[in-house]
Amino acid sequence: MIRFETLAIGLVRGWVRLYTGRLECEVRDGRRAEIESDLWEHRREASAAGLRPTQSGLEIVARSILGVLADLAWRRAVPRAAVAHDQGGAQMSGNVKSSWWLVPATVLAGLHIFAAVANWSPGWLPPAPTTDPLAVVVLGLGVAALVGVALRNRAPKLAGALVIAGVWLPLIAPFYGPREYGGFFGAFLAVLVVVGAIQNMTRRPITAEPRPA
Amino acid sequence: MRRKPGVLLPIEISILEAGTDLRERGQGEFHGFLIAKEMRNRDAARRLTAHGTLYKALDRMERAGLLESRWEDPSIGAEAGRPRRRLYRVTGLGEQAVRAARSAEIARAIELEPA
Repeated sequence: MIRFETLAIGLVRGWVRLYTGRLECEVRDGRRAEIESDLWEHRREASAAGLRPTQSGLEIVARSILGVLADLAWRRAVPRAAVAHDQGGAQMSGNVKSSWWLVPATVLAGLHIFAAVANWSPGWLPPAPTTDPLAVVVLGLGVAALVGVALRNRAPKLAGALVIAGVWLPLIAPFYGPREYGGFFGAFLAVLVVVGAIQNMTRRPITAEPRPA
Repeated sequence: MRRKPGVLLPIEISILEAGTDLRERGQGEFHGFLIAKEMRNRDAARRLTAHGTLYKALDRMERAGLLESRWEDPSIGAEAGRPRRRLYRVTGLGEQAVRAARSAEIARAIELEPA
């Protein structure tokens, strides 16, 4: 079974790859390497302090989620010269403007993962490992939403379908019980995400063509 | 957060203070996670500073000349079996800025003190 800490690190790496995409190599690689080093140090520190992988995984995801707005602000503030200034660069700038729904989608995906881990049955421990089917479903929804976010440029239709499939639970949660998604606020976020995802589905896919030398 | 020109943000003061403390303890250079840990310990905070907030602040402070950075020799990281680190150090300007911020804080505290 994949440890939650490994999953958390994968999610953070995916997010960093997403918001540093199409930046100038030096800026992009610098930020990615810096976060990679941070993740490694965090993991080592948590292990030395005797933290459980689930605990350190939650810390890592929380650090990433709480910094999403700063990441996006940093991405916008990167000097224009550092953004690929070919046609793709201009397209990317348009993409950032049309990606407002990315933040609520990432927050909801994070909440799904948090809710899944928080409700995970302790039965996964030996000697009788079992899994809570509901927690698996919720985890799957969170991952689907994140995969959708990651694919939003390459395959907008599939991405929209994945994101919408991933956020249906917060939409109905205020009426049917689960409180992990912040009630009507969670439902409001989900509505924003659905609107953004549908808007994204109507865009043409962006293919990663190599830039001319 | 919008700032007044010439005024440090709380996170910048925290980074500079943590960086100067580390130097006084013999660690002239620090990497991102180390400064986050130092800030958490100094401020008795529950959590480490978020990735985005921390690295955005470090980037901004380097552009402002308050910090300098260099990438560690990759062979050092490879030998230790870890990714290479970006190492920061507080510049002279950074030291001056944090001293000025502390003085302003003390002056404000004296002003607030009842006579």
